[in-house]
Amino acid sequence: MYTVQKKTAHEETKALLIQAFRDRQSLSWDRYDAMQPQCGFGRLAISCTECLEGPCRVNPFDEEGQKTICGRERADLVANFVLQKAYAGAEALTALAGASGAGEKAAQGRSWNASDSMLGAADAAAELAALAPWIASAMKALSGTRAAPARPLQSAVNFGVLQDGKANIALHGHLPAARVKELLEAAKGGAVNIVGLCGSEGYFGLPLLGNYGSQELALISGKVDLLITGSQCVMPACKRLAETLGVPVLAAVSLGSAKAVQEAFAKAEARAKNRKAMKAPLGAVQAFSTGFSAASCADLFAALEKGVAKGGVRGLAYVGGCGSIAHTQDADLVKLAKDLLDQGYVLATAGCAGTALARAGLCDAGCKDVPETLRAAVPAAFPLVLHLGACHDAAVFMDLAAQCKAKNIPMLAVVPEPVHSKAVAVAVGLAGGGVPTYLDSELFSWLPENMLNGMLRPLSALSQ
Amino acid sequence: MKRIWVDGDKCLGCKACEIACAVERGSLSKTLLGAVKEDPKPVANVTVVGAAGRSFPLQCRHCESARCLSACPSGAMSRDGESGLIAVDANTCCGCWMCVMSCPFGVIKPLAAYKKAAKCDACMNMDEAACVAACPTGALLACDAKEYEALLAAKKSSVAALLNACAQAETR
Repeated sequence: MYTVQKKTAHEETKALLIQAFRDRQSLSWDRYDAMQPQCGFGRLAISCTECLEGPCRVNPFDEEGQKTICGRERADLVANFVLQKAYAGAEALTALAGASGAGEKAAQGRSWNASDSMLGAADAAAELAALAPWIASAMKALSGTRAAPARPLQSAVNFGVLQDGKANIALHGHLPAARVKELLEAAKGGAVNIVGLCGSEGYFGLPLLGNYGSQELALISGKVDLLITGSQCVMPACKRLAETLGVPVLAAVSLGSAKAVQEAFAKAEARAKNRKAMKAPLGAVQAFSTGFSAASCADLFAALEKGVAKGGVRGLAYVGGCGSIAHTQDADLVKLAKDLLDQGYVLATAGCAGTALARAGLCDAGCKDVPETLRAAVPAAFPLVLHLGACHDAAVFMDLAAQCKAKNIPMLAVVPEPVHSKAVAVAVGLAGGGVPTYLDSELFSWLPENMLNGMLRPLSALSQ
Repeated sequence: MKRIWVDGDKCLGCKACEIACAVERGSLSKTLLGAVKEDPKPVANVTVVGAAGRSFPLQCRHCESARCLSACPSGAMSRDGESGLIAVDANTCCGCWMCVMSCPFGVIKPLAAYKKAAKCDACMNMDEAACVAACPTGALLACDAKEYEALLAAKKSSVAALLNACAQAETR
């Protein structure tokens, strides 16, 4: 049986996909196809390798309800899976904060007693509730390492941010804000053009090349002359592809001195001189505003409060997370955002989901493709989708949520396509803070109902 | 006449059948640890096909009018008189791949290292087929056509009952 799924809804990506096909470079989509069909036990999170008596899996069709060797049922396994992923994400966020010099603050409220405990659903739920404050403090510590701009910044997104006349340097993976700032300052007025991929979105108005799903295609474009990698979210295939294409790769941690930075820039310039002519058109750039914070949104909240009272506005919703290859790239994320806008929600977004919405044009104040009544209810200076920054900047939404709570504005958060455990941790952090949070993935479709006082829900519950 | 049948709704795509077949029927060592280290790599006679959520295991259907039988020039491919199952005799097989080319299901594998064709014989000389024994959800079953039809009928009637119940709930 052969199924066809469109790879992407993003026009500029299509040209690069064709380019990759002609160049015979296999991309994540090809590896995803080769992985089909994926194991249903894994996809439903009803398998377990916690102890070494396993691996166990329980048969979802079993009349009597099969149990693991240690005696856990389906719901226990799913609850435990969410807990494990949230813990991994909490550690990841804490590590990022540590790299930015805020490790101590991030580890406040650190909690983890679940190792080797073979928890049931109820115990896993309790453990998850204990984890949420730690995640919240890690998120807050991380967003504290980057002072929010007093006013939102104008930026641009798309492969078109790569320039012909300059050496293009792509920052990929999560970099400390201070390192990004140093690089941008060193590049000022020079012959290099610094752009961002997954992990440093919105930092100091950094132009955006794409998101997690675009990392290999960014290289296929042939115009990236140096890849500077931070931690997490860099696919091993991306580094390997860079090697194949002769694009130098440097770790951000190795760029500690001004001399190292200049050497890196020189490397990029040398590669730029030998760049082969690019065949695929990269397309135009899309403008968007980024870096919104509670302080810069005072006018917006006054309008929201009025709108909610009058009935034109439903509330504020956060759309976060990554973009999963199991979905057509950008398509479902943009559709979900448009549906929420149609329902009267003003949106906030960040990270890779944010990049998808930004390149669909929704994060631009001038966007025409939005519901008129909602547009009229919000001051013209604000786009209807507020781009907050990178995915680990979701703490800004916590500030916005606090304002919503104070002003009685309804709020919710959606993480529709989580790929990495950080996205699950952010969802848990938000849900633990009292924001109803919807998490999608087949993995969470059997999420027990009582997780985080019922604040953490599967996405299927959103339409009800 | 026992055959291997598939309940597609129950296949979760875990590929336990592929591993069991490769170990039991394809390997020399007959153990998982031994089989994964063998060279040439053991080949499974069952393949899980389809996309996630719509997967099913595919192996030889032992067709009534089997093209592989008429394509085989050496007489290695033959139907067992008692069970009606088709099997290939490795000693007689000349490795011409005519059967591989003629099979409409693509389930005959050319073993390049041995220059012999390999296919599923439904483990006809064993108590239970390796894939059936390995399937954790019961998506693979070994029974005769009548039993399978009864099973299908029961499934259809339960679907019909469910649809009826839904229709009644709507009219209420």
